[in-house]
Amino acid sequence: MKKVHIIAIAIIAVTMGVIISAIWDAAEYASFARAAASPEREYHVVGTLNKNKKTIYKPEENPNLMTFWMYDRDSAEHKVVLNRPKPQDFEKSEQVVVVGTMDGDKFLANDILMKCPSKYNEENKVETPQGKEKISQNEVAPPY
Amino acid sequence: MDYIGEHSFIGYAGNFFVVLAFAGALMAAVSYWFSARSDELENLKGERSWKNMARTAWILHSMAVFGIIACLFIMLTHHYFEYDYIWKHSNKSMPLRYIFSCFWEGQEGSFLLWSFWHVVIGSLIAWKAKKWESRVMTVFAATQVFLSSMLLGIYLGDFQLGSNPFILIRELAQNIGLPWTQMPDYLTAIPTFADGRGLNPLLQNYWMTIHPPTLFLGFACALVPFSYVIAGLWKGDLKGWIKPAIPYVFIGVVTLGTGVLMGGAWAYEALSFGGFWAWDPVENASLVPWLTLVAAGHVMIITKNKAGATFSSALLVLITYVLIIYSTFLTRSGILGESSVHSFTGDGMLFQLTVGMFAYLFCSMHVLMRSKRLRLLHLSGAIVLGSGAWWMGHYGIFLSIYFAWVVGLLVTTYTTNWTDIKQEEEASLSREFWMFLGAVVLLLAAFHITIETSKPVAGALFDANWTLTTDVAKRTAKFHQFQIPFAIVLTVLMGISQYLKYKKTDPRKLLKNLAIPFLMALVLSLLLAWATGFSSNKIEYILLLFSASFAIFCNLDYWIRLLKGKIKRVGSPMAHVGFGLILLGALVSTSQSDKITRTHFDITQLDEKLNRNESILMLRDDTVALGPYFAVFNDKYKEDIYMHYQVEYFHTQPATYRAGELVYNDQGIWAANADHQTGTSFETDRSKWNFVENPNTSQMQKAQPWARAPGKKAFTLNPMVQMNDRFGNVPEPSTKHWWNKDLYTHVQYALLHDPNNPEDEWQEAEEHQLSLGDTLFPSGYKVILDTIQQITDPEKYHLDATDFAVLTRFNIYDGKQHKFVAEPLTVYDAAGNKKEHLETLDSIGLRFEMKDFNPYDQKVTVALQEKTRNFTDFMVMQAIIFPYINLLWIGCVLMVLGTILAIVERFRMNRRSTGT
Repeated sequence: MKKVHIIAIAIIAVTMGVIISAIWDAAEYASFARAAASPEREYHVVGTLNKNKKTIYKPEENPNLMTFWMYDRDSAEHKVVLNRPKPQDFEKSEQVVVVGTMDGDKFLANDILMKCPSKYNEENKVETPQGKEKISQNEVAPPY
Repeated sequence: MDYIGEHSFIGYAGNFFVVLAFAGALMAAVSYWFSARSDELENLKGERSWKNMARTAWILHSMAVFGIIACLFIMLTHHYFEYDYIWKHSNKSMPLRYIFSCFWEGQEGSFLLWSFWHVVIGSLIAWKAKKWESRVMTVFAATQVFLSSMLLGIYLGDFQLGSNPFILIRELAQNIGLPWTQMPDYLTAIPTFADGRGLNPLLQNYWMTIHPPTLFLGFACALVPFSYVIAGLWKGDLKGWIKPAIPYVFIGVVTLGTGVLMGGAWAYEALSFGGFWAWDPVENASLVPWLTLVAAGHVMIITKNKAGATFSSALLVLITYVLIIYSTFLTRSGILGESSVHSFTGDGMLFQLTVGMFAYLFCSMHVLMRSKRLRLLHLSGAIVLGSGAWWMGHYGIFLSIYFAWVVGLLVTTYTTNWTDIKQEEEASLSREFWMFLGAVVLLLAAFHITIETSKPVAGALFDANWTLTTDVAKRTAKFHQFQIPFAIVLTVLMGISQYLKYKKTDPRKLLKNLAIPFLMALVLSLLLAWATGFSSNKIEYILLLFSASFAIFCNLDYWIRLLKGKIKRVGSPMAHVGFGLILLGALVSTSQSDKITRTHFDITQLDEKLNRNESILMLRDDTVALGPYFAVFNDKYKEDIYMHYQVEYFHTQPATYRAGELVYNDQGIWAANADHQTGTSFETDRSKWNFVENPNTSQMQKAQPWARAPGKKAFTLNPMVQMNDRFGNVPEPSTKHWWNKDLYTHVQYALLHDPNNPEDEWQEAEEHQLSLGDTLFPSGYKVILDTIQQITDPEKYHLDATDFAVLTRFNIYDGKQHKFVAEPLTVYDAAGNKKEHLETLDSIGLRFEMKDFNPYDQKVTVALQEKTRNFTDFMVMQAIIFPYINLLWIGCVLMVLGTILAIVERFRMNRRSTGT
């Protein structure tokens, strides 16, 4: 092997090492408590909306800001301030994932993902003389 | 029991074909294997008879696959909703043109589509491959065994092998034993079965008709070189497989590449990610095998032209197919979870897909090892680690050990067994060396994307909470950190290596050749930088701007000067120019994109952590400044399942009228007598207009309202929201295209009620605590608290004599000084309990409910409700200008076209060299 080859292999190995080490830099799912413990890090918090508390979105004041309350998976409740327009169908969501950092007792989110219950779940139920029964639980997976 | 109205025959036929397809593939694989084995033993007779058997089995398998497809189409067109697949993916109102989309919307249908391409291409190979047939087709048939098993839908104990498209809804595992399945007339008795659920409206789109078949054709093409490598290594012919496989690699590059780009175009045109590429895991999953396939193709060209690099060719081809199976695994196993916008769920295929993937990985690595001892080590290592993982869990650790083990074995085999085909040292200034470096960069890029995309998988393997961030801006930054430097190196290599000769090049000649493209690239990149106002504090963007231009000019110059502009040879340089343009277009359009809806008020007042302000509020009929335009959201209409939000754009300069143009105002119709720019009012321009005494119909139609500002109308865009009640309401963008830029707009939040059929509902109440004289401002009204007084004559208000009541009077004014009065009461019964009392003014859509009266500070608490119609309609929109995005699309076309031309030329060369 020539020197060039050894250098090339070394460069490749180092690059691969750097890329692999980036796995530690992955985004992480966490609870509000964990996010509060390291407020400088960004976390993904999964949970459900508290539909009893009011969601505030006043586009005339700031179309890029909304606040709402949610429970994480440990049932801890926190106020979430989302720096984005309100997502369509927000109230219908069954589960939400917010991405951001904890700031005191509120969570500052810069992104949100929602899972909405589809009408399919109702269509799923078949009217029978014996009452409602489920046909199928499989959701559709569209190809690519 | 006989069920009334069930079409059971087609189901039996379908199931028969499913089993036949599986058995046929298995039979073909085994027979082809024996045929190849007989060939090794030089048993000619055995070889021939096994081959005949295998061909028959393959034909049976092909016919069975076509049979399954035919059955499924018949069921779809005849609406047999008793079948789960038909019910889930189609309905009666579906236009026929979406029938293909329905066919491959589901897991089973898309596996069928993939099988279909394998059958088509496999048959072509079987016919053309000659001495390669037995071995290549063994791999093809084995792959078909894997794919066909995905359709079996049989239970082995609790484990479900595959998912069958011919299963009846009443036969689904979760329905077995339910009372309704015992009703002979369930199809007519239960209304659900009258119509299917239909195709997801998001997918009712022509892209859904062309994108999946293209992508799967690409996947199927990649199976050809994969099969050839395995065949070659099996046969012990380490190099012979290269030549017949090269054209298929590049056909795969074209089709897979087109499929990936179509995905991007689809996203840009119809989905609202805010761009054409979001580094979404599903997009990445199909990009990665394309990158490795391109690398494989180039290294194979090196091997063909100048021996050497055989090991790398084989390795790249093999991992490409493993990565294709991995991408299927990623998108279908449900493992990506929330990290992808594409909603995929598992359907219980995780185990089967995992096993399949490891089978491919294991076999691929196995054939690369050229000694019995290493193969034995590989096999035993895999068994030990596999069973360790099975018993102890900790999959991540065992998998990492396996990877390390494989790398070690590969290095050993490369240095000991592959030496015989290594030739003289490569000169560092040779074309092959630089091309090889390019392939390495492509591989590293693919490696990086794979690692990033696999974070959710790594999380599952290592029991960690890792995932891929969903924030597109952050995700993009993360990918660009590596991908941009890779692209810079790649484009430089792409440019220079065209001037290099195989074996050795004179460095002085090289430098002379490079001077022209270098200067032209400098000029182009400066020009583009000037035209787009390119500003970036990122040095890597500026470098890529130059290096991509450099690659483009090198290839242009190479074709014009060195190849003398021969049309025959245009393919490769054209494809490279296309690739350069794609990078250039992507770089300029995204890094210089301008979100013109960014609001410009003083954001320092805001919390610095909440400074994202990329979307704008548009009140109905209000004019807002939007970049170089004034924009008005002035209409909203529902068409089919789309709610359109019409936004008209006006030039910001005052209107200019040409002589003869017609306008109208409240006095009548006027014709301009000279070209002029409008003044402050119509009266100041009066001398430039002639009154039209008796306008005819055409004049009346032509006349526009006289307007000074916001200038003349430029164009209209209609961003939409798809009212998709099953999968959620989804915005679809609307884009204005110019030759040098696009204006891309999409609705982010909007009121969805139909303006033609307004629901007039009471909105949620707002509570206010008020003292005398306080004012409220609900939409369009001013409400003043005028009086608070105790009621002394309860009978007059139909109250009980013992009630204690307070009357509150509100004076309400609308914008035109009309006055309305509301007099809600606060009523307590003798026991002190508050009684419900509402005062509703339906005519103006206001409702008052007194919540509390505090006699000490004379304050009342009132809950005020408004009707929907009182609200001003609004929407929140984002508009982005993408400059020079057409470079990207032109690049796509050139790359695809160039690769096709290169393939045609290569086929012709192959034919000439074999003399047929």
